[in-house]
Amino acid sequence: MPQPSWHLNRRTILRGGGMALALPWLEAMAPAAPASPKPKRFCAFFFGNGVSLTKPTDPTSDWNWFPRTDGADYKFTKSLETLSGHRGDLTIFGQLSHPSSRQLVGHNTGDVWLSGADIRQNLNNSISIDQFIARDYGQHTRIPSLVLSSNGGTGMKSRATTISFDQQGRAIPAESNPRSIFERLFEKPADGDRVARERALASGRKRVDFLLEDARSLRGQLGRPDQQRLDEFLSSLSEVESRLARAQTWLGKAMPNVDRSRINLEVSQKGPTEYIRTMMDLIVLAFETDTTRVATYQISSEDGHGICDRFPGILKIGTGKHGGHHGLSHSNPSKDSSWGEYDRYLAEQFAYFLNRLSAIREGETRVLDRTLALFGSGTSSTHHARNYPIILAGGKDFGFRHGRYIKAREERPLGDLFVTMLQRLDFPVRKFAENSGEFGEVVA
Amino acid sequence: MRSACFKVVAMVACLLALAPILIASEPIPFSKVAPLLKQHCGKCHDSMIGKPKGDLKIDKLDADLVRGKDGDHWQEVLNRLNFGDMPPKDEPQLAKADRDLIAGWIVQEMRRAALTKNQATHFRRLTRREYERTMQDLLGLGIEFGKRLPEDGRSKEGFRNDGDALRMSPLQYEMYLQIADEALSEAIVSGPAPEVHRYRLEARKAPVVLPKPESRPGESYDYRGKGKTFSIGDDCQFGKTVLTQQPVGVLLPSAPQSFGEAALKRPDFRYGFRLHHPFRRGEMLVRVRASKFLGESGKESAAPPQLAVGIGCTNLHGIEIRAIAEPIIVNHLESRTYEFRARLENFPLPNPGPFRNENCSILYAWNPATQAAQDPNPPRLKIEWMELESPYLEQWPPASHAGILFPNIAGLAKEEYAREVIRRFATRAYRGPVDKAELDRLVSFWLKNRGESDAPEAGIREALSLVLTSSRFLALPAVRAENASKERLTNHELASRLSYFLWSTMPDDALLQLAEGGKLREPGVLSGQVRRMLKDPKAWQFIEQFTEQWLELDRLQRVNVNKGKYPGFNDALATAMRQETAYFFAHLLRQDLAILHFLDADFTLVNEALARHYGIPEVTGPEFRLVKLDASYKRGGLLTQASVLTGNSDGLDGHPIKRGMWLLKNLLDDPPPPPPPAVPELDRANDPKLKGLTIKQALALHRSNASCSGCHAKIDPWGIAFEEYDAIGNVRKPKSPQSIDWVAELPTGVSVNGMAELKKELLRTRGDDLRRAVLRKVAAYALGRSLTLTDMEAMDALVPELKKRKDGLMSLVELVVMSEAFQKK
Repeated sequence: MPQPSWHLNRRTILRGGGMALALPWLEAMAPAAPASPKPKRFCAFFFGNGVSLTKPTDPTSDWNWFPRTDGADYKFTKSLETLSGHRGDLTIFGQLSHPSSRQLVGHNTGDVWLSGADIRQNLNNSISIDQFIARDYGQHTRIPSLVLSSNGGTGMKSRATTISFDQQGRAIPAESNPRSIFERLFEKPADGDRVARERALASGRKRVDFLLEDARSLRGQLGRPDQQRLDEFLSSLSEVESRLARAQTWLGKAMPNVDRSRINLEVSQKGPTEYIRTMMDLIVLAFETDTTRVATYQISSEDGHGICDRFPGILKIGTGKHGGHHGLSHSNPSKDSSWGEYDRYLAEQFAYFLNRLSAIREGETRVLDRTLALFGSGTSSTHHARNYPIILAGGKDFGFRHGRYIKAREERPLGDLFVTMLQRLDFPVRKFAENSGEFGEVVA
Repeated sequence: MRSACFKVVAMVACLLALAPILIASEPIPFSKVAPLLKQHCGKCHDSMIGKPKGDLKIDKLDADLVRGKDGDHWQEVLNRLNFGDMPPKDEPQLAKADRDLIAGWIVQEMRRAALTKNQATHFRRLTRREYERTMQDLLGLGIEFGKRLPEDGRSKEGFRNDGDALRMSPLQYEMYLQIADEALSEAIVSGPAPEVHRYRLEARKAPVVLPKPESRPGESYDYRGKGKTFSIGDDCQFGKTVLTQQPVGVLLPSAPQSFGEAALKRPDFRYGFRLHHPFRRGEMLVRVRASKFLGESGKESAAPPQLAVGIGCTNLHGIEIRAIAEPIIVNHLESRTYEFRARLENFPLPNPGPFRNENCSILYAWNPATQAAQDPNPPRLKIEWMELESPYLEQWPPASHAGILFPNIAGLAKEEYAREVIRRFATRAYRGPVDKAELDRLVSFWLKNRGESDAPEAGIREALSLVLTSSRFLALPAVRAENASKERLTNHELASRLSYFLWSTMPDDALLQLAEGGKLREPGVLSGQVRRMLKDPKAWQFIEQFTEQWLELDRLQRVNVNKGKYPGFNDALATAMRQETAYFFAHLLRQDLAILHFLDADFTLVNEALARHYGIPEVTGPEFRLVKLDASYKRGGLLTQASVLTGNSDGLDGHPIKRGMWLLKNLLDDPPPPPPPAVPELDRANDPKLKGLTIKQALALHRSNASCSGCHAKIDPWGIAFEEYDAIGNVRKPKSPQSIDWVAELPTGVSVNGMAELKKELLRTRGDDLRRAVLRKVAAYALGRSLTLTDMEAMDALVPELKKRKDGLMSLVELVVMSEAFQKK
């Protein structure tokens, strides 16, 4: 039987898809400063279907995802209590959302959580923030970015099983098999793959060299102002050339030596806790070895699709028609705490990730202090695409001030936070994901 | 002080020389402004006093804004005057006339300074549209190549082909490299013809595999025999319930409609395929056998049924779909077969899998006709069957392949043949001859690298991909000629400039042959070519892009029309509005009618949707046609077209400021200065201060602000007459016969009552402003740059000749093409 075309084999991943010459995913913005000796990193964790929201008068009032009061003195509710050990390392945000999605049914907004694209008229997505970052950071690592999800692949439009989208807004297939992720990250590629890639890169460089010479020979024929325009062609080509050169040097470098016994690869989605933690461990390992600096992981997708919808059932949270993650989101949290218990479970997994990152030191600092870790969803309660549950952790080393629940007075673009994050990751951008400004309150 | 005086004198002389071309009225000399500044600002801001406030020495500011360094300071002076906080409240105030004089002088000088910064550039990258169309013409492939490139910027004047706005980035270059490779692997093929899918669908039966036609290459593929990676099913629906169930294959009017979010609803009546494992590329042939169907009553419907075919994909809620062509009117009772061809790359695709009914490709036919009001008989369309063939191969290798790797009849040796293939391709791609050194480099690249390629075609593809990513292909002009004049464009460069101006693509063979033979500049030839090119359907590129960018028709898309107040407004009407303006422009252009018709005309072009909107009877069907207008319609010319009126509204009501500005800026090229920084737009929907006010009240409030009144006194009166039309351009009735709602006193002192009088006044007094405006705008688009002072002078000097030629629009285009500015580097 021929292999289905959507199946990702190692070779396609290594090639990075066609003539792309395995260039990292694309965006035009160049970094303001040369790469610092100590890397900065970004990762994002997504879960679908929103969170349990209750009223203070409800018997289940403790199961409100958001703290009851904002500011520095907030109290964790039961939903987030498992994160209390990291209070000083994270900020909880309230009233953030992507403006053009606010009228949409919440389930539709998972695809654009990291991009903020306007999908009211059609489903054309745009680049997600992780790929925007990877376009630059990816040049300095063997692998530009890790794109993971519990369901794997891309899923269908409007319910994608990935949260990463390329420059043209196309879904990037997510990896879900820990063993093959590990092999791709840390084991030597087959000789045939390496040779093919070597050849593609070399031929790419030859072409770009030719084009540089070609453009230079045109230069003498142009007047001064026209030369300035041609120079933009030349500098663009030089940049493409140096990207190819950097990609080539990776081929010659030794793989990091990672002991397989450090990670439990004998897991599957049927044991959600071990599975989710192994996926997180893979990100930690990749960061620790500087194999990549950008990662996304869709822990669960929107709506009731795929294996991740069954996680709560396997964990014995929620039953009957309110079984499954999507079913939970249609339960009544003011009477039933099951949904909140699953929120708590997810927060606990994120706490596990933060534990791991803060345990690793990089000279004076913890890796967590040089990593921005985003955790959240694209809808607050079911079908309600406002007031996203959002937590941002880490990044102290580049100025993030944590320890508060910051609740905007009225609905504010999530893009504001994205822009501030990007700026602190050395991207001098002013606009991203429909922002109206920046989020100065969260940085020193 | 002495030297400053000298400068001022020199400048005034210079100004006077330029006066006729700069602005309609007399320029303001600095000698009138200086004493006012001294008198009103000198007390605090003079070099003679010890500590001038804010360290501003107004007498020392360089009055030469073109070469001087004080532009920013003058801008600040202007801002303070506009805000009205200088001179301070407790000091003697400026008289209004004096304030206007100072502000007028600063604006005049800033505008002149801006003009002199424009340079006579001519090297620019192709726009996204130009790149796409050039690739299509060059390769003979109908793929929308430009879709993947980032959107181009626009110049201050709104033009997207302005070289200053057309930037290049590493990302953009990577895209070009990728697209070139993919395009060439489509154009030049290797190996035998691929398997071909051919299926026929009859309603409510499983699709059947069709045998391979004798004449066509490629073996038939049978999806049932080859594992389960491919599956195909029908996706037909003939009404929602059994009661409305139609005889099999009969479609009542229905079309994909917006859900209001993220997807389209499937039509209730549709006929089609659902394909798991979509076809992602190549050409598809769709054949549909259809007829009109009368139903049980046997009676004709008022309007015949229509046939539309589209390709798309599903998602959880609904579909994304794009129609292959304009709907076909089916007005016959016997079945006929219709063919549609589409490049699949251009249509929405599902995610790469796994496939399920919510993530698969679809091919639908539907009946987009509308049932006329009070007609008991809906237009019924009957479909007998529908076929698809993918990829559709007319021949193997395809024509694009044979066009590049031409038959080697002369029996050239391998290297000679490759050289000739590369030479022919590069000559077309570079729009002119390739010199020997250039060709040698390409051939030697091929020689060096051909050994590494798997197939012989691969080596040629690689060499040609260099051509498609060379700056000589991606930018204009590309031609390099030994000993070419530094001043004038070569014949080939001229052919290119002309072709990109009028067609947005490479020159055709006729133009290239004239250039080759050195005949393009011969008397009569160039203007003859302009006329030929404007009559060619490709000129729609110029018509559509120029009208859209000049007249800012994209505003129409951004206005959020209030659906509650205007329930009749929909996408189809909005599209018709835009099209009217393009068709109107096209009509003037191709008939060489006077450009004064922009201000007023007794005809326009409409289709059914727009005719209904305008209240013009007896227009049926989607196609545009010429209609006569009498005065009772209160239409005629651009000012009263719904595209302009709606685009310059706030969605709830008309917007006199936007409309007045639009007139001054685009038709008279006499824009008032931009508002001072940090002044928000009049936003009645979101500004609490303005909530509940009528537009006139909001305007009055706006004008009562001193910082706004100066300029708005120059804008608002022009917009008042437009108040005869509501937010989507419906004619309003005056509130009472004596109503003075639309009376305004123009800045010239003339009073006009309503649109008819405004038009008359414009025709009476502003004809030359319109002529200059259109000449300048056409020239800026033709040259792909913001006009330099010299360009502008040259265009303005064409006004008498234009008048002599009865102001014809085609003549105007000819005059621009014949001008020095167009033919020079």
